[in-house]
Amino acid sequence: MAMRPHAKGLFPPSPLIFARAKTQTFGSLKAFLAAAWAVALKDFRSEWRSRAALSAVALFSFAAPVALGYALSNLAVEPEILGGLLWVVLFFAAMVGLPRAFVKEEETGTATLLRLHIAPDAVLWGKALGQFALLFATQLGAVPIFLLLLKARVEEPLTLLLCLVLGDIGLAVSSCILGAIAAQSRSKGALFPALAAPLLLPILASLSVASGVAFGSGFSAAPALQVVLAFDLALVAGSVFLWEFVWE
Amino acid sequence: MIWNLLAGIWVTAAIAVPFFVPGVQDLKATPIAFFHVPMAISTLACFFIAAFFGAKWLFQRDERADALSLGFGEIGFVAGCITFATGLLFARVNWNGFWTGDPQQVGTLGALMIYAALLTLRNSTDDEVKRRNFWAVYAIFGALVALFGMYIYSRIVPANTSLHPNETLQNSSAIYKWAFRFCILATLFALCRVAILRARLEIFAVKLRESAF
Repeated sequence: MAMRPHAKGLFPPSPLIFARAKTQTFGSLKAFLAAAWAVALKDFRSEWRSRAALSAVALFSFAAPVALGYALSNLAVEPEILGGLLWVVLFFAAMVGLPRAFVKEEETGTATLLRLHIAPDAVLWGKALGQFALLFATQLGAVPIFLLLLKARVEEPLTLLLCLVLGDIGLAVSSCILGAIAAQSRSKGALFPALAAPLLLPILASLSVASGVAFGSGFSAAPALQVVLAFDLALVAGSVFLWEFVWE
Repeated sequence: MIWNLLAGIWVTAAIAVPFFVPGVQDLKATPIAFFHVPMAISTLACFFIAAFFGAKWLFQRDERADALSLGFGEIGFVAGCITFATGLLFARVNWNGFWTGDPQQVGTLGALMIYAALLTLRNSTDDEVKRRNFWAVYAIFGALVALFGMYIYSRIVPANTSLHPNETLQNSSAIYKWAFRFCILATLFALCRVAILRARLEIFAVKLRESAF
């Protein structure tokens, strides 16, 4: 199909331009939210067109449990080990796709446009929302496959859901600040896992324990979830304060 | 010069002191503990000082603060490696294995990984301001993870999971406590001196880079 030129140019005006105009005009929370939503919407649309990060995360999330299923097919795996395996799979799946959001912006030069048109905080929240949606959407498919292939029984579904939501918040927020750093470095996305793995160790260790509880290890999940919540809050607060220095 | 000499004498004395105090009950090779524990505390202190100077660079754009942050980060990493190595030796003598899966061992290894990543990050870009910003931001997050790994994690795991004899050393006699304080201050002072020297070297290197271009 032939591309129809827009009345004022080849492409229709980006929603980011309107968001920027709104931020400048009103300077209110509503304008800030509109700008953040515009960034998230741009990421959703861009991702939906290429499906590069989505395919990478989804494929890894499905392939890793299959490989684990082969290796552990005749073994009864303890709930604590299942919790650890689940988060190893989800973490490395996230590492495959999350840096794309910033690496693509730097490679195509659109990062400069974002810096010019959108307030830094709105970029952070918009990107974090996009990353969270990507993670949660792939996990909706990947977690049932993991449970099926490793014959895991979920004794406490609510605890598992809480683990996924809290874990995704931590991964999404940290992937923004670390993704922006990695994208501006010489090695681009390759540096991202090296930066993210040590930083997220406390969250991953606690989530493994809490997920083990969800699979029926018999302990209390509360202390581990409290640690995850505390670390999530620290990551969010740190990102809000320090984002401008990374994104400038 | 006088401060460096003082640091050398103090550290030498701190190495000698543990051999003159009697051994702690139920623990072997206690002189290592007088080296290992002060080094661990100094490592954590170095990481926090690195984060503090990193924040100072971010908010005040003080080049000296960035150099000090780099110095304390690097020296903290080296001190962390020494802490880890002496911990392995202590574990081998007391619990018959270099790696016992102790939460503090795992946590310290995690903290060291953070600083290994931080050192990698320093040379990841040619832009001088960006590399300092990235270092400072990651050092601030790193201090949080180091605190979690080296202090909090071993205290939130179920009781009896950790082999670390924290209570044994804290509840020992007055002579131990004074010997410990002496060793902690000596290690901290010596590491600070080395970090400041490293910072001076960095400032000199920056001037050389600037004059070269």
